[in-house]
Amino acid sequence: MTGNPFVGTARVGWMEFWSHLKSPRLIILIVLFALLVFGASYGLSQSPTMGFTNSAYLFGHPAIRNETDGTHYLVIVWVADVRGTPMAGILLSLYNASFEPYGGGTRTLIENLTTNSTGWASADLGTSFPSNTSFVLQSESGGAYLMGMTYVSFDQTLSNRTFTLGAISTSSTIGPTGSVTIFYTHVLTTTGYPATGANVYLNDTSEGHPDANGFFSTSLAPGPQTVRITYNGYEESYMVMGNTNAGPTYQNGADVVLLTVTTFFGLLLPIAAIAISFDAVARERAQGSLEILLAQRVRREGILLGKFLGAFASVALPVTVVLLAGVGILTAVSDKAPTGTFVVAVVASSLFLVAVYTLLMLLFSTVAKSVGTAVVFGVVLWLFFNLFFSFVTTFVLFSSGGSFFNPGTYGTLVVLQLFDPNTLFSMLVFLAIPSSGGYSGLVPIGYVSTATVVGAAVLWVAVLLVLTLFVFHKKAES
Amino acid sequence: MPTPMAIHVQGLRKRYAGFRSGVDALQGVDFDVARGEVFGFLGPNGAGKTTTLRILATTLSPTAGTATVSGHDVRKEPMAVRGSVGYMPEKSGAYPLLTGIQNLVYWGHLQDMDGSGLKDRARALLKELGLEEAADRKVKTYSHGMSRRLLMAQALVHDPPILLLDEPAGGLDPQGIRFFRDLVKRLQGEGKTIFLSSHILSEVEQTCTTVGIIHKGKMLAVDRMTALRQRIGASALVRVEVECDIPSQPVVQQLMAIPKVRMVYQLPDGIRVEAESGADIADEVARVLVTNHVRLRAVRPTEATLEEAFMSFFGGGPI
Repeated sequence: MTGNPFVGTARVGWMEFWSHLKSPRLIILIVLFALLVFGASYGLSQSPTMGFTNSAYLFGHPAIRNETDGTHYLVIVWVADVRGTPMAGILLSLYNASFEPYGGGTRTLIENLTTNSTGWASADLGTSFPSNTSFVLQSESGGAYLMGMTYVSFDQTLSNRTFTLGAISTSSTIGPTGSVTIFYTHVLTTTGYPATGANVYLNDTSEGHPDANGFFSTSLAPGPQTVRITYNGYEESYMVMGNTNAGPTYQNGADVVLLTVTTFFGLLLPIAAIAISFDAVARERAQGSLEILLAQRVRREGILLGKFLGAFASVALPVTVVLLAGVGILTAVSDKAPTGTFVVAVVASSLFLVAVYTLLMLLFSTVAKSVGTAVVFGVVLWLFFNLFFSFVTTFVLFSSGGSFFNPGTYGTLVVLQLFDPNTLFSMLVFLAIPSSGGYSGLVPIGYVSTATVVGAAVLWVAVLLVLTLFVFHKKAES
Repeated sequence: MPTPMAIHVQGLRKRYAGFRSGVDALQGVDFDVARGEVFGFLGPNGAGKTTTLRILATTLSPTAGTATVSGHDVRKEPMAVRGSVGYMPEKSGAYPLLTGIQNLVYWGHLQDMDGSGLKDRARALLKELGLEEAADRKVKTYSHGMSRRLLMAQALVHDPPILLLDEPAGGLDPQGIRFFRDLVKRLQGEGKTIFLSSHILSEVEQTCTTVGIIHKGKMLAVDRMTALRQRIGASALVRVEVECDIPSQPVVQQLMAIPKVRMVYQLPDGIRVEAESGADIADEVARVLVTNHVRLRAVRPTEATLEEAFMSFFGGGPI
């Protein structure tokens, strides 16, 4: 055969594209996609502290109180979230623990506690000084959202101090304006009452007093800082670290929002591509128009390429528009635009995902005897790459004696992931994160290069296209 | 230089590969169709008619043998073949969500036709085929007959010299069958070569100049219609089916006595009388029954189906 093999591509492609643009299923899927992208772009661009969850934090203190029958030693507990909101009804267990010098040890339950309506709980350990032991406070609330445990120790210096700290800690999150770090602590007097009169200094600048519950928090600028707490002439100082904005991965908070928005693409974009292309050939076969199409002056290659380009464009075009609109919303709400090259990479990676699933479905649609079979193929394909692929590769690799600590096994796993278009999509997106230097957990340096990942994506599309052309050529004439 | 034959088929074989066993749909088929001829391709269902037509239309590749259409080999120059034939498949449909005119324009485009002239041609064709009113309606609202006419328009849109029509009147009512019969005659008048398949003798009898008979993937005969009619007709039986009360034995004797009657069969709701070829016995059968006071409900002279006719002629068994 001579001449242009893609005669008719434009006509067939335009017909495919045009008929899909009017189809309800494309409209429904694109509206769903737009709602998710717009919603996520808008929601994630809000206040950076959105990123802080309401995980509970456990603050435990030793306390000494003089009662009528002598000196009592107590463990005082307060449970709150990182914003200082108390949490009531949290079940806790207090253990007496002894530790061996080289690990191990025993613990015995002393008492079960429940926080009251203001988040407090306490245990009276009696009147003898509990030396050489640690008291382990552990959540018994299922532990799903509670910081697991905290240690409470008594030592002889306690009587020389005026306050104890339940924690001196920081928590960080990433928002559209970059990294945000909160410093928080919980200050009680040595008698176990909120040290509301304490002064908190950050680099010698007074930051105020703990609240009525003894809780204190403030946001930290990037870099190391000194926290100093004074109360009744006694003071303690600590070094804390504000998360640096120019971290290895995230420079621009808007990029982070965009990255977060892409996390559900692996689920949704394949569905759109499958829903559009599953019957591209099977439908023509079922309604009998394929026989007419094949008898026209178009080449088989032309028909299939036209079908691919038409189906691809009918998903790719609205997806691109929605993505760019999402970036617009994100920019408008957070007042910060994502990096241009990253936006381009996210769009290109999304189109890669659409292209791969469109081609896979064209292939199955060509092989399938009926439209129904083609649908089943599509569902199985989606499940396979979204669920089974990682399970199966990991299982096979590790059940055959591999280990994450073995570079060979790990390298094999990374290479195997290139055969999963969903993971490959994530890799492409992660590689494009600005200022990450190409590094991310998904694309480990030393195991797979950027060129390999991009090459794998190109190969996916090229090999599938050739294979589909071949199968269509064979199958169409039978 | 084009060959004088519009269609030339030699040693054509097609094997459909199967999982365990394949099917030999064509087992060495030979025939020629001259330009301007109306060639009736006859055979029972499953004989290989559609397979042959699909190979000629280049939508199916042959396993062995050669087929040329308008001097172009279907394997080596499929694009040239596609340009010179108009193909109306048997089991096929237009795009249901497009209008008749949109379907036709699309197919015209795929035949490398131009935009402006194409639309006029498509409208004119739809008018010619009686679809003028339905031209701008979606095809899903079309009746079976309308769909068949649209597919006929599809085969004609690029004005090809050769038409391949697979059971063009299949499933149509008598009016539809007549419409296609007249259309074929008109197209023959325009000098087109028409290759049409059918399993109904009467359909090809009145339109075809030449007939090829295929059975189980082999050609049984290729001949001029007139010659074939004589050969088949000589061996075919004439049949009259009568819906009536069951006649008594003396009445049956009288029926058997009608000249050329060979056999009288009893049916659940009447009788069937068979006579030699060429006999016109319907009136006589009715007269005998009426004079004997047998209550008559219907008298139907039935033509032997083509399958029966040529099977009886060629000595094959039941199909």
